[in-house]
Amino acid sequence: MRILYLLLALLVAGVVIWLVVELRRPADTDRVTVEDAKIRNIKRMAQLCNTEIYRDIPIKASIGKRHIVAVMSVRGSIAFNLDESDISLTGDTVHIRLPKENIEVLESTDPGSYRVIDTWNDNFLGSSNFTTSEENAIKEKYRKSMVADMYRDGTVTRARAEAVENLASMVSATSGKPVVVK
Amino acid sequence: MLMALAVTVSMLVVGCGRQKESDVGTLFYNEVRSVNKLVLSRMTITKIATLDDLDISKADGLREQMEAIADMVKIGDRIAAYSYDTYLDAFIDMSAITPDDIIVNKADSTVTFNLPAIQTEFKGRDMALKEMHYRVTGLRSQIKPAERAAIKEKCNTLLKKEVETNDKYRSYLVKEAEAKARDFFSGIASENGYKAIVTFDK
Repeated sequence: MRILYLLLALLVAGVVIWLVVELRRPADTDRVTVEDAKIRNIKRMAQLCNTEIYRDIPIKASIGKRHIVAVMSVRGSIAFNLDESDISLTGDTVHIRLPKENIEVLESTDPGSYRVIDTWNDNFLGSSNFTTSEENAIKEKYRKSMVADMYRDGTVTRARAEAVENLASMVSATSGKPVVVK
Repeated sequence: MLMALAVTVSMLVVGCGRQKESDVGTLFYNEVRSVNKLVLSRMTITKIATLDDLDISKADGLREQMEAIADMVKIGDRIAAYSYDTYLDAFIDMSAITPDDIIVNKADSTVTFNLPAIQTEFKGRDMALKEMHYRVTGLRSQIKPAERAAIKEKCNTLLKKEVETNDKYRSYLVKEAEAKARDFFSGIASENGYKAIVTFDK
């Protein structure tokens, strides 16, 4: 009789372990269906990029009594569209007007580039959810802030100075003439 | 008593496998790099994902079958579709060009540009997620930021795999970049009365 109970106990233990392992197994298919990538467009350009910024931005935002904390990895760049530059020859000197800088800040494509750490509501029974448009607006605010910082801390000024030097060097090597870039 | 012992042993085995909470990173990365890249072409790639209940006919394993049944009995629907764009750039590293790579031949009025091989890289993806469709009804829970982040992460992983395993993306982009490089350097040469010959390292 004891052996029977022991066998029964082992059987129950085996079933419990199997159930837990099976339920914890990561799903091979989940509720998300992803379509194949589609090429939306291809654009030719001549953008001289001389500064790249890599940053992890801690996000902390509130809308009413709802709060969100997340971390976003971004990749920024400062570039100049050479197709918009003006080139003219005065005497023996090549004059180039460098166009306004093109500052781009995008979310990185490295794994885990946007991680939501927590959302909560100060009211215990209140919803802690944020809609897609609210979340997009929060991210946009941080993007604009990063661009403003780049102007404020001189990153853009330095990038422009380097672009002037790089472009002058490239055109001078080709033309053999002195080059002035503004 | 033996039954209690069996259940206790099972719980101990299960408990050992429990995952620990991961720590939030305390070090935030911040780097500014000087580069000298001439970006010649950009490909915009769209990824679309839909979130819906599990279909029991597609469920694999006990866990998914139980989840699919649970979805069937829930009151209401929970369906959403999202999309966003990722950018793939083709560029040449201008810092790899030396004075020896630009050969001016006054005799036949040509300038030869020996350019480095065109490289491609993922420039980044849109921060904003476009919500193409959203329908949550009945007693179903709203779709949360963490779920949307997981959807974007899955799309990102699959997109990178697609681009790496299918050469059409990069080869198309490089072809456009080479054409633009020829136009661009021809323009620089012609401003000085020369004809450009553009070659690329492989």
